[in-house]
Amino acid sequence: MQHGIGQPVTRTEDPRLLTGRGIYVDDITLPNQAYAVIVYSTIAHGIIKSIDTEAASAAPGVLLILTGEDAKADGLGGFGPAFMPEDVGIPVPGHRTSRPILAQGKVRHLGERVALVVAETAHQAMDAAELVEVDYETLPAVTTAVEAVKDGAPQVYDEAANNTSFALRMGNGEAVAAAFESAAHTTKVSIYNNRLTANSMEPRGSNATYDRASGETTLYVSTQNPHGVREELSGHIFHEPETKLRVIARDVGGGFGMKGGVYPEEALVVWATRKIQRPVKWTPSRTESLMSDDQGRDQTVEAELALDADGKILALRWAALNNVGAYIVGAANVPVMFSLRLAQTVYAIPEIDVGTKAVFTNVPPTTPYRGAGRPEAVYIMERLMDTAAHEMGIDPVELRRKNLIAADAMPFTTHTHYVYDSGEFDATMSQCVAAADWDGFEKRKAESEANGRWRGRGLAYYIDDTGIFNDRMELRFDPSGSVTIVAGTFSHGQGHETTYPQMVSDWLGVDADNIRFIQGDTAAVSFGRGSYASRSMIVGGSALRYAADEIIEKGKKFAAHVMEASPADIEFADGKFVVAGTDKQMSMTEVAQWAYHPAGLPPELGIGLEGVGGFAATSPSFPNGCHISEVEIDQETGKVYLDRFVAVDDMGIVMNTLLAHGQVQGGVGQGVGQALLEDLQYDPDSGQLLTGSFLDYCMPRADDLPSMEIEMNEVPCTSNPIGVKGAGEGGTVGATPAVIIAILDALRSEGVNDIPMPATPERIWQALADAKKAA
Amino acid sequence: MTDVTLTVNGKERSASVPPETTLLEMLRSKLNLTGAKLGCDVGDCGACTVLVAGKSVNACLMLAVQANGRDVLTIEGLATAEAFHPLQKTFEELASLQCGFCGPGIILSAKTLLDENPDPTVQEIKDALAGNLCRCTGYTKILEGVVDAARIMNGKQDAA
Amino acid sequence: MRAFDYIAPDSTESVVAALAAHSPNARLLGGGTDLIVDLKHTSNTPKVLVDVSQVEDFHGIEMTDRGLRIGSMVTHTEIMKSEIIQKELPAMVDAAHTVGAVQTRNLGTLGGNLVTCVPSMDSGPTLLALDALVTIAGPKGSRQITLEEFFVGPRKTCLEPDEVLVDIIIPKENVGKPTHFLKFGLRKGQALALVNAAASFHVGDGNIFSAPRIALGAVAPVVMRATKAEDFLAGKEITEANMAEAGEIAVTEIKPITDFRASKEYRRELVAVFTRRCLAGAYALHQSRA
Repeated sequence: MQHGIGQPVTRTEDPRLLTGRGIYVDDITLPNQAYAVIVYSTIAHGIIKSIDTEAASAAPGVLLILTGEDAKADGLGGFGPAFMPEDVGIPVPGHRTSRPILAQGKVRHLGERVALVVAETAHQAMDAAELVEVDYETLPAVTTAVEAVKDGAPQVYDEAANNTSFALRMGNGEAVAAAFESAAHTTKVSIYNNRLTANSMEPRGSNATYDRASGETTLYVSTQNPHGVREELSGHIFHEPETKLRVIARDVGGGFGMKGGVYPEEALVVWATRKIQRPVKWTPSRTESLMSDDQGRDQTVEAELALDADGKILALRWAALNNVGAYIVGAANVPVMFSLRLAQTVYAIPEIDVGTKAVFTNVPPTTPYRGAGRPEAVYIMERLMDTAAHEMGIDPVELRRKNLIAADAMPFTTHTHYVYDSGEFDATMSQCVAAADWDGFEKRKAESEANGRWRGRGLAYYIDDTGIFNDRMELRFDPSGSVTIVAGTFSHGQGHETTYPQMVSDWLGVDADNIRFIQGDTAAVSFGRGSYASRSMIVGGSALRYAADEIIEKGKKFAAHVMEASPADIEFADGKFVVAGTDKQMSMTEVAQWAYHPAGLPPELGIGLEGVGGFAATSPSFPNGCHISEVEIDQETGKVYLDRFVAVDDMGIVMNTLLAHGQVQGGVGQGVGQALLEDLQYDPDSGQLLTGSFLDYCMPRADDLPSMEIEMNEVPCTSNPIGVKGAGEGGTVGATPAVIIAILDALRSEGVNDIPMPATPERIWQALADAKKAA
Repeated sequence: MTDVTLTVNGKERSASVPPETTLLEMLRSKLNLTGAKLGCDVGDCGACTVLVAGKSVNACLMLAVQANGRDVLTIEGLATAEAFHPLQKTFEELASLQCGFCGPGIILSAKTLLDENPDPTVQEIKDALAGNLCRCTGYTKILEGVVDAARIMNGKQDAA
Repeated sequence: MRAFDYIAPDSTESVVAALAAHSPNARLLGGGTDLIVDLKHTSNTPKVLVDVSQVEDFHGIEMTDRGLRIGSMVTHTEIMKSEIIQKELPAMVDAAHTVGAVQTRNLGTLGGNLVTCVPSMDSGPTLLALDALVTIAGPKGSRQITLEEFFVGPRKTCLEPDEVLVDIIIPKENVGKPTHFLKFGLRKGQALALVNAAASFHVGDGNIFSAPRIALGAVAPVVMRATKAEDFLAGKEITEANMAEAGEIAVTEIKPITDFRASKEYRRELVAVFTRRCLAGAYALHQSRA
């Protein structure tokens, strides 16, 4: 079995995961373990008049109870945004919030953390938590951005008028207005990109233990970014050097962005273990997770497209509201800003005018969820294109073809100052159209109708911007000549334990089975930024390439010394250092072993063979692709059956085809979930969570998804040394519009031109009923 | 407290537990078998699936005492010392898992299907897995893995 | 879950005695798929859980001279696998198949489903459409009542705290009666029903509806019979038009609610459609046997 780049290498992770030997945070129980339960706010908005912990403190097994007043007394900080627009060069001030680890004086969303109870057993902690009495003065709550910006709406922050933290706008308003005035055709859509929650199968969780001897605290946590947890807790909550906290993430069961930030519970267990000097473990129930995980999407937008008579786009205009929830924390502004930056997606559009407002409401914070702003931008654009095509009587493939940025226009600078380095949008779309048997649709449609079902097909072209922040990777040989990869990124299902060794094996010519992989422990990995936003292959992979280059450079010097040649005469290929023009050679392994000799090493080379690489993408990478889905719809009940799904993706050079396909399929599953099933629902008046279990927050199961055909069109990225583009999110970005557009295709003949998400059977039935009435 | 004795993965294991202990809690906390996972605790997600007397059940919905005296198979007992079960083999070949959290439950659900129905259709596989949620994979490679494992178990395909 | 004591008696008498001794602080444990979930979310924990799965009288599927007897502790999986039910009453197989997923069907029992008595229960409509009877044991002995009498309200049956459901009987004349069941949920598997429907009738001479029954779930406080629709059908010719009309009449008999899962208007639509489809399905079953 080949182990190199591009090969479908099986996963190093799998032997342990397939046999139940993975270690996820709830699998870890420490000696003398104590257990934590959180008292969450049961209302969406209110003033805390008092918290009575007397009865709870006296309950059996209780070790500690903490409230917001204790956090204040201990001088603990709160969680703020990683950046506001003004921190990244956008001169737009915004109301900056601080999320306390336990509520102080006020609760601003259902599920805000109010008290921490620690006891000998989890059951005792639960029982005691029920005895904590919180006296609230309930205040009116607002849960949607549309309501929150209206005059007279309940204010989440007095400092943010109309609940607006900031407003952003990009493009040229005047030019766009002029274009709309003179356009032959304009198209308008109103969209609510609905509120979702990630629901990784493994809930969040943490377990912290204080070591009396060293004074160091170790936190085991289910996270996508261990170093980020350390940085945030040390810097912003405990105000101490990072050396006092070690963060360890072992196996993590999915994150999707939801575990990319840092949560109050992580600070609470660290704080608690230091007080009682016993390990403190926190595991939420699924209902608590649904209530308290940071959530995704929630953008309301009015969007318009102006076109000439032939269907060439003249201008794009949209105005949105982003519901950021009660606090702006962590990377919350990423989806807000990325939706603007990617607004024109893959089309050559002469002028754009796009804007949004970050709006506070009394729901939990909104943070990145698989796609994080790009699903919003692409959904808007693809719905506009599809609607315009229908309104103008132009074939939807043709309309896109007319407007796609041409391959020979690369590099292409967008109105939002992105530079698309590469992409063959037209060719990729054509490949997908062929793979999806586009021409066979009419026949399938007739068959469906004979069975009492409408059939529709939807094509969506997506693009994604990936590769955020810098990162650091190390390669370390040991005296036996084996190499270890020390990764700053953090795999939680993506298979880095497999892919990085494939790459190193190819680059250094060492056996992949002998490559050790370390991640996720701040004591073992000196620095990193974790995995999210489809960054790991781009940033981690490129940093790894540079680390490998450093190994090769140092190796040449060692080899030159041993083989008594000049470093300039040493060539490295296929794992061998060769003195040019001779048959004198040493393998990488031999050179590495040599670098650990106890004597005889040239002093200027130091001891050992190690390489460190850092990479920051000066420009994002832009994976892109075409998704086509076909649906059938029961004509009486409105139930949607997803019949076929084909995706052709450009992820640049693919490191491991097996894993890349899996990323697309999983992403598509979540995109379909939003289109058909998923919706986080709050009661509009009380702010209570209605979808509090998996029974009501519906996610796709095996029978809800068709088999997916995945193809690639590898167009190498030119803005990183290894030619990769991000793989993790495209599936989600493309699938949602592909499915909704297919549904509309099926229903257009009945007069339906719009459908909200998720497109439940009742909503489809209602749309049909409304269309009949209007006819 | 109640004494519960189970034959888990072929070995007799006992623990003294309060009656309200679920089978899942007993496996994870008392017997150190953490392969069955806590995903929702109410039988919606299937991450806790184990086999009791050969039948797949949600361990979070069974009291440990209800399994007293019975045979229990968890993921840790599926592979032998010599070899993976065909499902583990095909899942490895296809990279059917991603984060792995749903894996033990899915594999055990698929095993019971194949034990009863050696040549299932894709629709039958989907039905058998209706109680197992996966958030990472979109299920395509999982279904392919079950189809391939069926072929191996039927002798239609070399196990090598 | 909070603490409770656990006993597992092995006879009907000892179950009844245990209930008498501990009620009202005892609860019956069957498959646990509803009870265990409830106990995880309540502080109102019983003192004693009486596990009835060991009672032989509560198991088994067999024809008796009264009809088809199904023990209350028969699981949904056992119903699906029963040859006699597959042959005679495939609608019961279909209904069992819609309960949760394989794992929950391996644990969940027919009796448990009936006793939990939620309006959206999956097994109720088919049994109601088959005029099922239930046998109840208590301190004063056994009694048999109709399923309609058994269901009192949401989560409320007529069981006294010291009574237990022994078995369910499908009357002899209805064993083999053409019946069809359909469930409409938000998803195919592991889903709550928005509407459940079952229809059952014999095909009388002249191709007429004989002894028609229509039972609906999730559209009223209990699983209910659409008796006006049944009366309309009785004696009429079996046609699609009559099936459709029966569906429209059934809509007038239901009391659906609007909640965040579905509106009452949509539930009405589903009742009309599914009543008709169930009648059509029952007829198709009849024709496939001819």
